[in-house]
Amino acid sequence: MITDVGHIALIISCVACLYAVVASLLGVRRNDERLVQSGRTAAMLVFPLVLAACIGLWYALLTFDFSVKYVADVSSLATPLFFRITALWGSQNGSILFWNLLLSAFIFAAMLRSWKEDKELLPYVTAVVCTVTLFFIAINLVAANPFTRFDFPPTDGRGLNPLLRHAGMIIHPPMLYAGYTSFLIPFGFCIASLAVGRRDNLWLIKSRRWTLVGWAFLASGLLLGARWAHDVLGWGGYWGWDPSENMPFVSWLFATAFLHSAMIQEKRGMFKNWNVLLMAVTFVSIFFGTSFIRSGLLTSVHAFAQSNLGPMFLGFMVLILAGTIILWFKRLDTLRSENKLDSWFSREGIFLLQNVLFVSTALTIFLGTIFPTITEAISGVKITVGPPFYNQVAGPQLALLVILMGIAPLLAWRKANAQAIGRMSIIPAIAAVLSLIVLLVTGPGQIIPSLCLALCVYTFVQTLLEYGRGVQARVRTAGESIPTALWHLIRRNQRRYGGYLIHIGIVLIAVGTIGKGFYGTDVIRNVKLNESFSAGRYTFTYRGISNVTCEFSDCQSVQAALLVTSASDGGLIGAVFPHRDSYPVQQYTATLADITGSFNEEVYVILAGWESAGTTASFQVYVNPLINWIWLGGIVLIFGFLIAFWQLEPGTVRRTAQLPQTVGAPSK
Amino acid sequence: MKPKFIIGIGIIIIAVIAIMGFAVAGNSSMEVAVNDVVAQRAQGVDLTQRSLKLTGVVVGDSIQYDAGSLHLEFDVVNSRDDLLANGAKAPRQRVVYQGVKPDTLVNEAHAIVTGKLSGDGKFYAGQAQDSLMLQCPTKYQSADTASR
Repeated sequence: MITDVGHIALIISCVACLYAVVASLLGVRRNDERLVQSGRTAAMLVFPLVLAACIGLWYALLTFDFSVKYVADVSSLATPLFFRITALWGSQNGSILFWNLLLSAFIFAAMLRSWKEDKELLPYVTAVVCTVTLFFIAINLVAANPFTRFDFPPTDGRGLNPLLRHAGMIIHPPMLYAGYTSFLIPFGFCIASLAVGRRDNLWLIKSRRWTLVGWAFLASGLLLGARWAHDVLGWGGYWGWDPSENMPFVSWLFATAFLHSAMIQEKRGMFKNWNVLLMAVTFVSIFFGTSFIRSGLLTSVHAFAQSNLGPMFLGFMVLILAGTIILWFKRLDTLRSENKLDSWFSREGIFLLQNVLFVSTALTIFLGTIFPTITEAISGVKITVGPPFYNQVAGPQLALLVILMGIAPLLAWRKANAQAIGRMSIIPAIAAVLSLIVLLVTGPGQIIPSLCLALCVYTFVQTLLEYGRGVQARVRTAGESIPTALWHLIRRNQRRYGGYLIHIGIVLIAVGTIGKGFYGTDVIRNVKLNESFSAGRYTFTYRGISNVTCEFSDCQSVQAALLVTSASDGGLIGAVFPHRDSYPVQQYTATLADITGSFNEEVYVILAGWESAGTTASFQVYVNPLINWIWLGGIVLIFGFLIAFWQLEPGTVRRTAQLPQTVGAPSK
Repeated sequence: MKPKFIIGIGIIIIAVIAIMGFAVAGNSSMEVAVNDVVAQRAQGVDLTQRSLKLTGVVVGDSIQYDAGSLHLEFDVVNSRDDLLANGAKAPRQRVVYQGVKPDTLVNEAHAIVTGKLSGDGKFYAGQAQDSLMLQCPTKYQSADTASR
């Protein structure tokens, strides 16, 4: 009953969306404020309605209502409560419903705020966001309905896919979805601004926080996905350049380019038409990514090839793109730049360079991903490119971006002073050279990773010095203590210093990827009971296997015990207990690693197999140097985002619009 | 926009395209289905020279794994339908993989193997970490639902 009410609520939400679109557009045409407001109300109504639909599905999941096909697919009597709640996004139909919940929630939040100076944008924003939502709700009702019932319900369900029973997998899809969906709001503002024909930056300012939220959600979604893959798939890695990873990464790169070039528009009135295109491309890439992965056009381990949604997504995406481009062409005169670019050696110049690099990195990853489809269209044969392609192509571009990240904050607007920059680069450059020497002399000694790490040191120190210079100025002029000065510095310009913290997070992530990518090793061994083998600086002694209680009632677990000692002096380090969980119902076995080592060097051990009740067993050991820096960098990045996002003093935004004219001057 | 910016951007684009060209040349593999391999072999086409990405469906009974030497062999057929309709008679390709047997290697799993076809008729997976990839959860789930 409650489930059926949910289904009906979803149908009504579809009608509400349609009404919101029609009322808003009619309201503009007839200049009828009441109609526009009723459209807004209808748009806000979609959220409670979709929420009701979700509650309906949750109710079915919680009450084991296996007559609902979706419930039988993603849960069973043995599924714990927590996983029955998260099973809402455990498979396609439910995850589209969840997607709609997020879309409508963001629309609700966007509509809730008071529309004053941007009142004329309202009907267009409503029309755009509700058209997109209408599309997804319609898909949910017609092609991917989670409320479909069996004629003869089974007595038990299949249970949630074992691979999805991990904290990272519980949070990763909602994060990624939230990132995807929150870009709808800035896109709506962008189109509305074009439709109205405004020349100013209103749409950027009004949608800035949405863009930032979307960006942060995408980043954390990507990082959590990487962490999940690392913990659950038993392969020692975290990133495999799979289309399902590449597509969100491409969207994230576009979004990052947009966040940066939007600053130039805000402060110098430049890059206006570029920004509109970037916003459109970011939004469309999200569609393209989700649809392409589902379309079956790509050979991805993640793809659900049997989905019939790909063509619909693609069709809708083409419509959006075509509409945006037509509108953009019509409004080109309103998008003229207010200032001219004078020199490469300026803040604007380096932002342009950085934008070109972000876009070219995104495009190269994108091209690599769709390469099989392109070659198939041209020659009839699918040619695929593997991870080395991405490492070779994207690697150098990302490395350049890390350097620019260190230099860009030093450059003044219009034209920078080379001498001043040289002066400010002395300390970071010395730090970089010293670290290069240390790495080459005492480290594994490879030249390319050592150079890359030295560049990271440069950017890291340079970014820290940005804080240092700001604090120093405050201490000198206002006579504040260092902690107070730091606090005031950040509070006075949260976007800037939050942004720098994000830069530090990115540097840490870069260090982690370099460490794992260049210095990581792995060893596979089959050993007898009490036999030892070495991997890196560690010696492992196999002590046998045993049956242990599994975390879930529908699985059986076998665990191995290995003693870990130092390969050099034989000193005891500890023990590891990698295990394998088998799920008879799903006919699936999960290999779960146990981890030892230190923060700087993770040792990832998996039980690959065993024979004759454990008289021999196979182990795979991955030594992953610096991999933990990736997760640390992720935390720093999110912290930086929070600082940039949570403006304690709303007024600061305006004040920063004054340009610092001198190099390195702490912003007021 | 001033010429120096257009030239600068042009240089970056050309450099990126050049790197891409080299990277494609060194790291690409041709995607083939089991039926393609079988058909081409029947025609006497030599496929042993280049890197291939073989896609197929795993035949559960054919999986042989020697944990001691970490030697894995299994057959793949063209599609699930092929396996269900023709069973043992379905045209197949033997795959050899050196390493730990993945958990997801089960009957009817969709396999993507990157490697080379050898003169002995077997397909040898490469040493890279992703040379043997198998179905991911989302697909696994929908495929299994469909089979019920």
